[in-house]
Amino acid sequence: MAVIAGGAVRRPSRFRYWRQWLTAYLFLSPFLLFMLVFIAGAVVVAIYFSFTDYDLLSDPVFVGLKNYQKAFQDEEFLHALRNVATYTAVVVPAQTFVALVMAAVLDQKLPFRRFFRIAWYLPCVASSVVTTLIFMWLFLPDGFINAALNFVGIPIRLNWLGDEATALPSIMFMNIWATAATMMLIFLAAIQDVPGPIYEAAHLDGAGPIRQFFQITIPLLRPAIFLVVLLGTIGCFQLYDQVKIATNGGPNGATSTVTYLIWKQGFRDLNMGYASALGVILFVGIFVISLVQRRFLDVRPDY
Amino acid sequence: MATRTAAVTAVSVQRPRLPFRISRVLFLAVAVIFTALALTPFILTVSGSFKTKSEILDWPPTIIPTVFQWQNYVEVWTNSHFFPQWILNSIFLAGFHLIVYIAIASLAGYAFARLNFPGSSVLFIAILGSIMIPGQVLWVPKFLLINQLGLVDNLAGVAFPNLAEVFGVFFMTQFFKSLPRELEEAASIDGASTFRTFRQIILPNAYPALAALAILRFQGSWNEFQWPLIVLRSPEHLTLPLGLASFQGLFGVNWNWVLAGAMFNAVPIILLVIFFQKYFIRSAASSAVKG
Repeated sequence: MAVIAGGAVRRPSRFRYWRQWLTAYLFLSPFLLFMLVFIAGAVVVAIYFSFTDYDLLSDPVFVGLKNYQKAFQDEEFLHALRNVATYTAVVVPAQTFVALVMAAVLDQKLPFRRFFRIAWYLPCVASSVVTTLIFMWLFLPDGFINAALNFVGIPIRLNWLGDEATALPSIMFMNIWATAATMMLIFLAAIQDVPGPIYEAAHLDGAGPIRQFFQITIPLLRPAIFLVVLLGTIGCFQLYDQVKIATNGGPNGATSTVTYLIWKQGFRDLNMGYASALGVILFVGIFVISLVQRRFLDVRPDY
Repeated sequence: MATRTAAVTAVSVQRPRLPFRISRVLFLAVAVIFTALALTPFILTVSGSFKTKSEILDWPPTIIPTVFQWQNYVEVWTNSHFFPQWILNSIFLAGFHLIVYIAIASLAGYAFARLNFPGSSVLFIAILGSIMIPGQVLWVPKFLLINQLGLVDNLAGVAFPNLAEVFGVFFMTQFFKSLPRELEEAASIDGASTFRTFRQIILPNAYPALAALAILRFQGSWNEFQWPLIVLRSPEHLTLPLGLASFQGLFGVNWNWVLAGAMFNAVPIILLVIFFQKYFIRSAASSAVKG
């Protein structure tokens, strides 16, 4: 295009084409370099090492599919898979629902809504380390969560993160708190794109605001819902920070996740081959789940 | 969206509002509850960071400290020898990432948006597709490479792999596509080179997008946990988030220090968001695509 702009009528010479290609690739080269090394190359290397035993000290030994077979017989990995499945099944619907309610409330043109928006969004901007530390403190037996429950008449003093039964639910709560508002922003952007005349028509037909929300807004938000569910699922599959900081996978594996095991196998026990295989399994899992969700959640809005 | 333009021009068309006062009160109540849920942990943290070592262990916990222990903020700075170093390391990483990444991403974004070259669309799709790759798959190979280069336990080992980020390129591509072509046409009539056009004509017109990207990158780098945790080992090389995470193990029950330390990480980013709210909310919605 710039060629045409440059020499209005003259036919661009071969040399000028080459020069433009060269310029384009020069512009791209810094990014491409990092991309090729740290993403494309790294994926290939990860797949290669997933077929080996490698402990950093001796040379990698090719072992074929052994790491993959081992994974699906590894009780620890299966436990982590179950944890991730439970976690995803609770967190994705919950955060999607909360985010949708938040977006619907903000769309009501309430007073102070700029304040509400920024206040709700603050949990998403603090680092995972800070929010996890805060909740570790709130979840202590002497902490505010127990105090609040006692205050409303539930006399318990649980060690939320230290108890097998409550550790994972506590992390679920923490993450819904920390991520819902990000999803809210997606819904908010989508709600504002819904064409006004549709509401006008519904209003003339006598549909109230609540009915309009369920019968117009929600169906028209299908692409946004798909996006939020997909992003939420991918995020849940990669749950790591809170587990690493607060529980180290414990107590007794109750909060262990796939990503936590990748860290543990690779960087604590130096099983680089096995850790790579777990990574590849995670990648395939995320890939498959997004294809499945795409099938079930129709992405096009039906106007 | 064609229908939307129609909505703007039609005068009487309004988005639905609840007719009854009562339902507006209900919505307001829900909003207040959400606000309380979102802010209470932060408010309690501020209060906890001012409590004495013994008061923070009290049951039931007090909401407002009986004595304000300003000392905590001094002690957290002096008692853990490396605290100032952690802050410097974090500032260095965030600054490096912000400047270098923005340069790389805007160059690449410009090439995709405006230059013709073979393989352009295939490359762009491949780059977009790589968003699907979970970062944890790359831990082992990236670490092995860093290890080969002798960059383990070195801030450079954190900084360089982080430049392979797709989002900014995508973001800048979309932005440059939205700029009018006349900008470059005038410059190329004057015979300016592509790079000079980019630097003197295009970049000055891209400040809003660059600012949005800069804020987002700063936040990502300042808060980052996973990759630095793998690369950095010795206490003097940690970033602030890593230091804080190790803090809690070091000081055990001294939650007043942990909370005071956490403030140093949270407050700058919260202020940034409040001041640059407009940029933030808009770019955050599109960055969510990255996950």
